[in-house]
Amino acid sequence: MNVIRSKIRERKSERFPNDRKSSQKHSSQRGCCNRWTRYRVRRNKSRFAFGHSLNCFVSCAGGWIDAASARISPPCVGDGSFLCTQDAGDFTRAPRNADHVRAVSFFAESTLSRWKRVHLLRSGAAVRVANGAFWLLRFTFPSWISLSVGKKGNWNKFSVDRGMTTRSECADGSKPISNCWAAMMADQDVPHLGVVRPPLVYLASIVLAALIQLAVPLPFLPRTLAVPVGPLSWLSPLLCSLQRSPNSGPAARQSRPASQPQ
Amino acid sequence: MIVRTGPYRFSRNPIYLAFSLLQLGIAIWVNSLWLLATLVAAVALIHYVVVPKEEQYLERRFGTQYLEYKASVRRWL
Repeated sequence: MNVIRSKIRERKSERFPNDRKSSQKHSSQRGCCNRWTRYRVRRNKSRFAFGHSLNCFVSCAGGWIDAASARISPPCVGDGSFLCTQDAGDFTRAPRNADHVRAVSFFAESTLSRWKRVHLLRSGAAVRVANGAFWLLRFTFPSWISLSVGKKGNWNKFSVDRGMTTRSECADGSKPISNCWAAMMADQDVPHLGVVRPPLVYLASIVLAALIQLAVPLPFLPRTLAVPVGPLSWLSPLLCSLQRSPNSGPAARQSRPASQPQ
Repeated sequence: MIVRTGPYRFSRNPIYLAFSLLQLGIAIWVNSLWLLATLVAAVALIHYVVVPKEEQYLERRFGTQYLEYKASVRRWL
């Protein structure tokens, strides 16, 4: 029996050489995790978790993180950049008690120098990148944005719906997770127009009219009048808009942050 | 802060106005009644759906400051 087990282990280590290394790295880093309970990810033959699979990450505190429908590569998780990066706590402003929650670091394997990373973090560029990705996902696949994190027995659920944030506290009254998510929601306080975006409305009307015009041409002015009058109606406001506003200040310098780092 | 200078002195929605004028100009230039018809539909959609939602948001956000501006400047021209 032991021989069979050792053979299975050898075959597994040949197929997934990063697994053991990465889990050992985690155990040594955190000093708390069993390598087999560190993470569990369903994967297919190409070693990536696709589509609507259920990915469960077992945290150091014995809880688990469920990233519903996330597309996460197991080797990346095992490399330690996903769950246990020290930088992550910096820009996500995670609550003090949430040591079992670590966010993705964009700079885990970055070629940028430390100085540049700190500069980017302080100038808010990383948060803006995160916001952009979050909102792109939110409007594209709203059902994806559902994250549940909990310890054993004490559930702490955080979910995001369209235009509304709902969150329940832990059973033991501890702080809710992901204050950064709530902050991101507050920053994006904008009128929700749904799919009715004005530029798209005008673009769609022009495209639709052009298609119909190709099929059924329908002029309404004599040719001699249309050619000179048409450009005037939009050239005149354009020329007026080229005048510079007297109240506008100097152009912002993009090479420097707007505020001084503290 | 509410901008009251430049084109915002004459219209609360100068960008939508510019879009509409641009499409009107194209419609006259290429002499197409279809462009004019779809422009009317687009302006109606903006006027009855988009702008009221934006105004509600601005009233919520800026309160009396926006109400004063709203009373002094027209929606289109």
